[in-house]
Amino acid sequence: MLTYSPEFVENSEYAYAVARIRALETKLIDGAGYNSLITAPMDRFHPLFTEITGIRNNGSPDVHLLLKNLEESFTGHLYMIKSFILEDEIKRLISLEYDYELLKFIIKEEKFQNISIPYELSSRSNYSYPVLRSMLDFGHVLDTGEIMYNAYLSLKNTKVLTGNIIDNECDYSYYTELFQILFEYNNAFVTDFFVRKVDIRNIRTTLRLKIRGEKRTSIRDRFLPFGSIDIKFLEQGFDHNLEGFAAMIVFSPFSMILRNVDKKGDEENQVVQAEKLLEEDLVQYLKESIFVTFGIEPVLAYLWVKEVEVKNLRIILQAKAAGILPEEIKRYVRGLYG
Amino acid sequence: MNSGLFLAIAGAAIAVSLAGTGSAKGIGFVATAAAGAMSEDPKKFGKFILLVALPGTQGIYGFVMGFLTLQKIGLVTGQLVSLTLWQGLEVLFMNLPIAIAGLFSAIHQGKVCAAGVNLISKQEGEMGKALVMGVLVEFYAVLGLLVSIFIWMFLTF
Repeated sequence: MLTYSPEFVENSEYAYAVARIRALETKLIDGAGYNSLITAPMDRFHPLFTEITGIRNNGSPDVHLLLKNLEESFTGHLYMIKSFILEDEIKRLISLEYDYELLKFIIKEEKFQNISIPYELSSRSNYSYPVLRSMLDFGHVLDTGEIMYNAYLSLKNTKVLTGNIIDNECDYSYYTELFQILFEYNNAFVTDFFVRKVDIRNIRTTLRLKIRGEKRTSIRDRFLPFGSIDIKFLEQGFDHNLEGFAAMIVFSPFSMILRNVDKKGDEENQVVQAEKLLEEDLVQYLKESIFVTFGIEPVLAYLWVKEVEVKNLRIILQAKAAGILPEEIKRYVRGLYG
Repeated sequence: MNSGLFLAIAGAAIAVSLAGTGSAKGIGFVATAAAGAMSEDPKKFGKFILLVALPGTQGIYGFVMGFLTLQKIGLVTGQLVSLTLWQGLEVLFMNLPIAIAGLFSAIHQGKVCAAGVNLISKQEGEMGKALVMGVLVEFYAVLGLLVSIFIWMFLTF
């Protein structure tokens, strides 16, 4: 029947979700909102925070309570976005990051004890902490998936284990499973987003290793092979300054971003600025979802932009509580689209 | 009932049902989007209602053409005319422009209007532009109706 052929309907199932997302996008905090929060005097900060973010604190100036409410609010958004999504694999993909974060905590808990599992992490995961823990303990490989279970076994059997090894192994497994889902789902916008994310992570790791004075070979331990930049270019750029590093990855759009970093400050400052610009470029990429009228792209883009917003608010809250100067806070706050 | 009359009645049925299906589909599309946007901002109902109603016109055009057809063959007055096979085919084809143009244009208008809902959600002052884009799709349903009516006017038995 003509009216029921898929190409004729063209993802009409997402009409509700996208319209709601467009309405929600108007509530995202813009640059002016961030500026007001960052420059607000401490006695005006809490009421202003509630006014701008809508996150209530019952008049208490307790930053930890605000942070908790902020995380709860994001978890609510995550649930809402999951309820909009029709494809089971994408629902799983959204929470996959939290599954692996939970796995990190479970292994660290086994090895180091006295590790408290953040409640929000457990609630954002596909499983929750007790469920994942028992599935791993009882070897329910069909429920956890082979990749996660193998990562758990591998780390469990490793004799000398550090926090870095756990993080690296879990991150590698996370991206392996993520790209497996993306390969099956085959959505260019979503796949490209994660390829860019991996590229940014690899660039950031390389730059961070360099300013920490580590050896070039340490890139290999942390490199994620799912991006568009091969490890050899990162290794070649390792010994150069930021300009030289950018020249080594000239084929990548991130090269131009690195060239735009203000070279006046010291190396650490340059890296902080580069990280900010790279993440802002990722947010700019998400902006392209406005060209999709009906589809999953605007829904996912909103979630990821909201994630950046929560990260910004977290930075502002903690920095204001620690009495850090506004100019310093601004260096770490990422731009948003509205 | 002769085969000519059968084809004429089938023509009326096709005009009403195809154009009506298109309208239902189109309205369903834009109303779903409007519901999504209103769940965040219910005050915008007044702005959305015109866009929601717009794909409904094709269903009305189909109904008008169906009624004119039934009136032409005397079904409304109870004095049925006798039609040859070719005359029946003429009446059937008379209904096709509005039936087909109505079906397709209503669905596509629904999509354009749903996109208009998205536009208004972000840019409240752009309602006029969203409406104009929806009306542009309407134009082709009107052309279909006009051709059907022209044939109806000049068709004599």
